[in-house]
Amino acid sequence: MNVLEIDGLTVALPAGRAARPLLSDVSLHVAQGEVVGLVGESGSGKSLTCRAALGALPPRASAEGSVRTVGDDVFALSARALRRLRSEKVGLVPQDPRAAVNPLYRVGDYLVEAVRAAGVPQAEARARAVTLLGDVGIREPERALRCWPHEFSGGMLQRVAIAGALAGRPALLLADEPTTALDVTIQAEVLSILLDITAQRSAGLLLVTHDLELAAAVCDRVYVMYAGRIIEAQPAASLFASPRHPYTAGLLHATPSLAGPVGRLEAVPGRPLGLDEAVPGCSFSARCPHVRPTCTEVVPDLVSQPGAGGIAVACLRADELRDELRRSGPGRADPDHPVLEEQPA
Amino acid sequence: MTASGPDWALEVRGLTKTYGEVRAVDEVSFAVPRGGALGLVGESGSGKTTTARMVVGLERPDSGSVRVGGTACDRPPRGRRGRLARARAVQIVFQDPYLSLDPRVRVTDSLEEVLRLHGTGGARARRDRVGELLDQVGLGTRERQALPRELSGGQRQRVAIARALAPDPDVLVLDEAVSALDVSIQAQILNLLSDIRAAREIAYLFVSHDLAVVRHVCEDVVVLHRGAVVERGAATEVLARPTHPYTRLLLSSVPRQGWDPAAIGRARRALDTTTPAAAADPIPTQGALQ
Repeated sequence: MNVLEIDGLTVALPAGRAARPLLSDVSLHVAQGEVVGLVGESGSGKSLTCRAALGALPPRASAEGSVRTVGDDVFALSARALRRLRSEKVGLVPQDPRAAVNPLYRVGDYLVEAVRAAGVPQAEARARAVTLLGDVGIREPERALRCWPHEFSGGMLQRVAIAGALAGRPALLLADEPTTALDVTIQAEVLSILLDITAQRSAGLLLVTHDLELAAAVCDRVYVMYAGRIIEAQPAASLFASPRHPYTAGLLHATPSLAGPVGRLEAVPGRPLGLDEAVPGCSFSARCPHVRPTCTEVVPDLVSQPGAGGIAVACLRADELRDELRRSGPGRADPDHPVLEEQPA
Repeated sequence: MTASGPDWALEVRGLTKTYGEVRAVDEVSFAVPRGGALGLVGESGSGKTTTARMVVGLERPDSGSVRVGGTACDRPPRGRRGRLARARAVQIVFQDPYLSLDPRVRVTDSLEEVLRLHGTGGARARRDRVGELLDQVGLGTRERQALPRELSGGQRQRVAIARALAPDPDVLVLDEAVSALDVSIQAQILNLLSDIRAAREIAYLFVSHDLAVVRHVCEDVVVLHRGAVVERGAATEVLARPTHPYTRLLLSSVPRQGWDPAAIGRARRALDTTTPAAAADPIPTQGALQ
């Protein structure tokens, strides 16, 4: 069963406020128990897509297409039903827990409020908050409830925020850059909690990130966005070794690696399209090393590729470039790369 | 590493800074050769930014010494001449290009101001030099007359770099200078930094949490953990064969295929219990490495 189904979603601002739609024909799905990555650079539309799952669009934006979240058509819901969807059926994990958790409330008040909003009676709310804190691996949850947010480190507060997102036993978790504000060594821990919880509750997780390597490391499938469109969809296992869109390949090459040769990086020239820019044809054509004249005339559709794995690419030259884009040489997944050996305690 | 002489662009010895009871920087020593690049790696609270700020003279060390090109810069410079001399020796590029440029000053004016301050020739000479600097960082004619808000993050960081290069410093401190940029833009700026170093003799102190970036930019690396140096050496060597558990932890925390985030969590907790601060308080407070 799909807990999130976005079909042909186009979101546009009123005329004159942007030269192109914020999102163009975005289709994606997240199945129960599945971890799906949504990857793109700033302005690509990944956060907007994530928020559309909650029916939250920018003011005065118009939307076409459909969004079904945990069985509900979000654009058809009443305000009350939408509130229920947001508080009970979907959990949103924020990017920066310091901005998301009210610093003037104790952690317990924050969690009890979330639990109450999800329909749990007052009498049971506190006990449920304790359970939630335990679920996200906070030791001494009773004591933690009495603490203030400022008494927590960023990583611990992100756990509190995750606990808050779980208050309504959601079937879908939306995590928008959940570890970007955290130190690298904390990132792993917060992610492992998020992944464990998704697996235990067989919920679906949509992980929005700018980090292609992170997505490839923890997701089942990955969607790559560019200028408001999904330009590639692939199982994470194959995305890394054989990216099919020149942009994905460019991103992988531009990422500094911990193995292989050092020195100059293969940068992607130019910069992403702004909202005030619209180009005919493929929006990546101006930066693409494989561009052909037709690329600047025809907008490529996201085409499912024949064969296994549910691969889809929006590139006119997808077939020709297939072998060329396959990554050669040592990448980051180099087997010689030092991997942490656990030290005996 | 402690040999004194004109070969070092930057020499830092026994640098220590305490805030209250916290030793933010604890006896940190390193040296960067002329035209070399040293990566200063660590997480938040490791003392890397405090060290960088002491090097440029924005903070006063409790003890220890900073020498740039053989000249002592231990305390914040006094007077206009002192400040200008320090600025010609060391410049810094900050993380956030949205905050580090004056929003009301156009790109060319922003650079010209620096040149005027440092007494570069007449208006014409300054204009030529501004053009030269902007060419070097790859900014086109359209961007030159722009206000910062009209530029993208990568373009602003190019302006910040051009501004830092204007006084022709011996040492450029880059404090997480590419961390806020998108990957495709980050690669452009990293290549730009390599090009600049190839074109003129300038040394980088490259402060970053990103090991892969440091590996691409720097010959040497110093790993900081809770204010102290835990490992140092050639960047490729340290990152290929780390010896300190903290360096190993940092390295294994970088996501890659087949990555096991849960194992990293266990390793980090193991590392924490070996240091006294963490064991005492089961709910870690802000500032602890948690």
